[in-house]
Amino acid sequence: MSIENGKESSQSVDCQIPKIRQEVLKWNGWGYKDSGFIFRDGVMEFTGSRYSIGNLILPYFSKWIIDTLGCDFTTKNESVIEPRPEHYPFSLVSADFVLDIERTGITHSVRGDDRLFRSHGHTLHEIFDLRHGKFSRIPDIVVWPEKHEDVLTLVNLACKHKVVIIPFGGGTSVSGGLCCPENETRPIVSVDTSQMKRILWIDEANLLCCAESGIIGQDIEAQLKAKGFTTGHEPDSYEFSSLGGWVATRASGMKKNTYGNIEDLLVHVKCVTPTGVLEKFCQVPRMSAGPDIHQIILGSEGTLGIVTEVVLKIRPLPPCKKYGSIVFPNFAAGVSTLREIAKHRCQPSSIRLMDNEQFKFGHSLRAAPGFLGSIKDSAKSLYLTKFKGFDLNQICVATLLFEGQQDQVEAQEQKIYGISNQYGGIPAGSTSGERGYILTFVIAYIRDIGLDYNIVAESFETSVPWSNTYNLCENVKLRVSNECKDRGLKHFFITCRVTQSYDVGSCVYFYFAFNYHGISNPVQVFEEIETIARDEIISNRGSISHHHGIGKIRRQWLPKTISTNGINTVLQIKQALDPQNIFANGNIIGVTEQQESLRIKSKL
Amino acid sequence: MGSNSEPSLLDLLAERRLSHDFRWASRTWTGPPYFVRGQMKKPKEIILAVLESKNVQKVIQEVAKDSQKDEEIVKKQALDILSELAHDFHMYAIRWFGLVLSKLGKRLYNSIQVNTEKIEDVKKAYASYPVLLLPTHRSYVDFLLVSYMSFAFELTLPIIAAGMDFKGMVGVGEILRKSGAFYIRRRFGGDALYWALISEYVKKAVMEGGHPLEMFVEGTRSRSGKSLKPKVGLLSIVSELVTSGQIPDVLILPISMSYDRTLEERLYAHELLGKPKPKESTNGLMKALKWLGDQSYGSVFVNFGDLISIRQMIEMSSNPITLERPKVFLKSIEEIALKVVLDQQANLVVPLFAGISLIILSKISTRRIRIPLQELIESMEYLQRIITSRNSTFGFSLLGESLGANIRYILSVHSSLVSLSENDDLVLINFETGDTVQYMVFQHYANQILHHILPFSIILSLFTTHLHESEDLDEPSCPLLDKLENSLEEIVISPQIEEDYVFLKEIFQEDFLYNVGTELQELHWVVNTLKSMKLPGEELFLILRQALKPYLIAYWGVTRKLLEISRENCKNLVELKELGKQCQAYLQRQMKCGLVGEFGALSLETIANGISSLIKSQAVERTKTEDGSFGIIVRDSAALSNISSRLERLMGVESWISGSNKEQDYVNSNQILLVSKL
Repeated sequence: MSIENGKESSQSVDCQIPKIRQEVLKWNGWGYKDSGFIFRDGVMEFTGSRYSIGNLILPYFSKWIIDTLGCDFTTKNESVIEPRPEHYPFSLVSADFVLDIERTGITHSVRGDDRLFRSHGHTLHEIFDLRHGKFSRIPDIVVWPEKHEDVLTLVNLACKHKVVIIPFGGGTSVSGGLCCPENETRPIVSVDTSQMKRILWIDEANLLCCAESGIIGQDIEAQLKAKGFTTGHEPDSYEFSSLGGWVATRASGMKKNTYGNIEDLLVHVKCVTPTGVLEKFCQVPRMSAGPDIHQIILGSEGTLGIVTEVVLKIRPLPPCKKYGSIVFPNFAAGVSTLREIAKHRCQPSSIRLMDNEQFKFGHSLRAAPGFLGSIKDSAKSLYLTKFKGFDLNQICVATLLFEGQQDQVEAQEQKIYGISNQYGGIPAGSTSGERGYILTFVIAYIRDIGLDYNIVAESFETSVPWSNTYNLCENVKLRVSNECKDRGLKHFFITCRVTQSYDVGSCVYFYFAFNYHGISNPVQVFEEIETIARDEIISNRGSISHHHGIGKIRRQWLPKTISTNGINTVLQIKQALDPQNIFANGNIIGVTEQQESLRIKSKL
Repeated sequence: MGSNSEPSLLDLLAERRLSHDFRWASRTWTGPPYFVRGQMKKPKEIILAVLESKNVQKVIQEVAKDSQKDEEIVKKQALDILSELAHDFHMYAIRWFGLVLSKLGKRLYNSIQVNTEKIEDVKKAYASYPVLLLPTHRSYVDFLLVSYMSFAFELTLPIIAAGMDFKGMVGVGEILRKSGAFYIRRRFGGDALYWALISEYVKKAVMEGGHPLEMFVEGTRSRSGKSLKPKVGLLSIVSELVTSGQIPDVLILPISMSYDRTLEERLYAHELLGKPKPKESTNGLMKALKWLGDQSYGSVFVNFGDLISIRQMIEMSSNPITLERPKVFLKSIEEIALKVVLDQQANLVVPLFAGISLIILSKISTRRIRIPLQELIESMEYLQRIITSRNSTFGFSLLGESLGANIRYILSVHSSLVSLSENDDLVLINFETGDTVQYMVFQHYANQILHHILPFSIILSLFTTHLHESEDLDEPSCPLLDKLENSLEEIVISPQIEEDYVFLKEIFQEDFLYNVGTELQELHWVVNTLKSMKLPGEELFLILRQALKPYLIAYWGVTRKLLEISRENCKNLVELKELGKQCQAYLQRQMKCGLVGEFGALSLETIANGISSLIKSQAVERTKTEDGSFGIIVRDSAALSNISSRLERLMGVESWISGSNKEQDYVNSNQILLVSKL
């Protein structure tokens, strides 16, 4: 470690995910190979010891799945095995291009499994296809740049050889953002940033850190923690997602109330585009210098260039971290409380409100209790139902996370429990709160076991003004339920939680699953209903997305969201930075629409 | 043909005749799941939630400020209004009604036939979204029946938007309230507090009350037996839930209910002729019930329509609606309301006596009061073919029996209006010349088939008029009919016929609702149908043509009276109700001296519709008088006189018994024409 210009420079390269990702990660599902739900001996369990529910038997969860989703554990719907090398599509990349790459010394691969791994994100559609051995267009070559200069070289080569670049970070996209456009005839190069994983420097005087864009959430946090700092940015995918990906999709972290979302944390960013590097030449708290070019890079979803280096704000680790939870008699009371808390601007680091269905679901994800545990559980529910008159089919729970100085946390707790009391909320202890947050990371593993047993599932999210939050939640759930019934689906599950509170409104996160027994085209039905759900969201004044981004699956709602003039502006920026459409992943607006629109423009 | 072939028909009373009523009414009762937003609110909780709602709070503050009253006083006032308004649903009241109505129903009615085809759809709808039950309204029995049916089919009981008139009935008002009725004042346009309360109450009840909402889109009981022009107030309140994004959808279930014999038949006839309706009182009700008990009322027929999605209607509407554009919003609601009423009408089972009355009225107008039974049955067979062509059916009280047997039965149900001669081969009409009330009772029934007959009636009238004019014939008799029969094969629908058809449909649209723009399509359909059916014989020809007459005459009378007023009175502003009476008196005078006694034309409802129609045509205008009531003023006497002479031409010469008065009239109208031309 060396000191440079008063900044501490770091070369640490501890990394949880290897370059050959499929060595530790599933090729056809979420997360680590050694972790996941399995159904064994008539009961559900979670394997591996990475998570706190690891190696635990989950009897209530098995029952919940059977009751709610009509799951039949006797017939398993296994995924196909990983394709053999000869089954992958032929690589379109030319020998000239490979030769040029080899000359640069940048590592690369044309192996099928490397290319397949980088051909998808984690939407239902993508995972369902993988499990059924369906892949139509995958990248033709994967390259691993190790520094900013490598990226410059690669983008130049791409322009020279007229190939397409699709940047790849952590691979956790849920918007179809990583899918290769099927009609792309040029060779596609997947630029995997995972080897650009260093923290370049930490500036304690200004509380900044500069890192390369490929570093993943858990690595940057572990390294900062060792020095007593944190970025405080913790999206649910932070075990796998990368810094560059956060910038490119406008990510949001669970603790944004304390630390801010990615756009609040970002102080400087370098982005390599075909026409050069897009960056500012200063790192100041704010400035008035015309439209903010950072805002062009934020949310560009790999359509303009590759983010290589990012300067983020950091904070000293909080001395006190405390969980909490509140039980509400019903969802409406919970939403009113969140709204009131936002009005007072006294949100803790995180406050999330789960609806009744999610409360029950979360409750099922617990190990078989000991004798005392079950007494405690029944005493709790007895207190709520008999003494407080709560209806177990109406109650919902908010989970809280406080971070800060001891006294700050205490004052905040007091204020929040005071407000919730006005709406009938009762503090329900820190254990339930903590469980809620830990479960966040394992929930993503559930879809894979669902797919094993004829269940398709997906999440989607939105942001919405406070005045419409409650109705949006209820209406989307109602509409989805009724659309399921109309399609003859007998077993389905739709639930939501309010995950973020702002001055103006909230972020709402939905989980939707159904048992597709007897249906031949489950993914199509799922997407149909998801589209209806988004229409319902928008007619309830919700947005196209709070943090997942547009990708390809939400492009249709963009004109209604940002106006035709807005679309044209975005297209003109694209034209200025990437006139040859090297970054042709088709996200946000879409290749054909882009070309069509530009063609018309040029005629005019 | 007829409803007897319908397999899904269920007679509610048949079941009641088999088992013990008390046990039935007190049985364990579980409704299917019904939509509720959040936690279901009890009636009292809804009142509190309405008072606490932001909207109501805001209006209370405004009213307090405007009227310089203490907020607490206004709040108290609001609470009083809500207490007067709110329902207080209790299942025991429903059980009590279940018991009483079972007993009463079995005494009054032969059967209550319900088409159960859609019950499963209804159950599914109940679990999906809030549901509005919109039944036709022909009798007080209607809303008792909807609740009774719900109880019988184990469908969640509705709450009912009722008029204030019931509230005043001692005991009855309260027990209806306990059965889910809530009371709405008839007129509250300017009262901001009342409007805020009613609209918030309805919304809260729909969203959180856990009951379907039943209301009468026609606003009031149809005295005439025809569908009334829909009211949009409550419907727009409920639709706002959808347009403001509080709920993705609200579903409408149109319900069509018809009666072989209407309980209020005589009352309605008096009202239509302008005799005031007696105030509802418990005592009166008891007396009526006692009297009713000795009578037979045939059967009741219930049909459910297809569910209508308000969201889809709004999405389909050519005008994308937002609350920011109230006019456009209202337009869309009017479209929905019209669709509901037209659906209700299309699904109505036609009571047999409607057809019989139509036939009887044509006899009366040709001064005959007896019909051979066989002729009646044959005419009814022809009418049956017409309504079958319109996808409708006659209601058969005696299921599985012939049309003839059912006609005989229905004649016995209406013993106050008709009877059979001793050897059973002649139908004797109980009518004395000039008995307008009796006539109006027949008209009430005939009107219930008129929406099917009217297009045929108009066409035949037009053909007659046009043939008549082209041939310069004096008498519209058999030779003309022959001619018509011959020419029907090669009939050419002339532009003049098309124009007249559209003219009549448009001018009668207040009386006979339809989707504007579909006139010519209908015209061609009718002509094709007539060609495919055998052309009716002379008697039937007269019956069909006669159907239109009372309306032609009434509207003509309105135009004549208005022209008279505009001539005589330089200020020529007449109060609306007063004008109705004057038109009625004018027609009565004309009937005394030559105009045929189509007493149906004396209906104040039809006359009022005629006036509305003229307002729409912009020949006359509605203005507010100094005392706040509405008055009518003639704006365009040339247009008015043009309408008048078109109607007169279509009425034909046979509308006049002696020529002298007609001549007189012609002189008058020609004078007017001259005056207006000058």
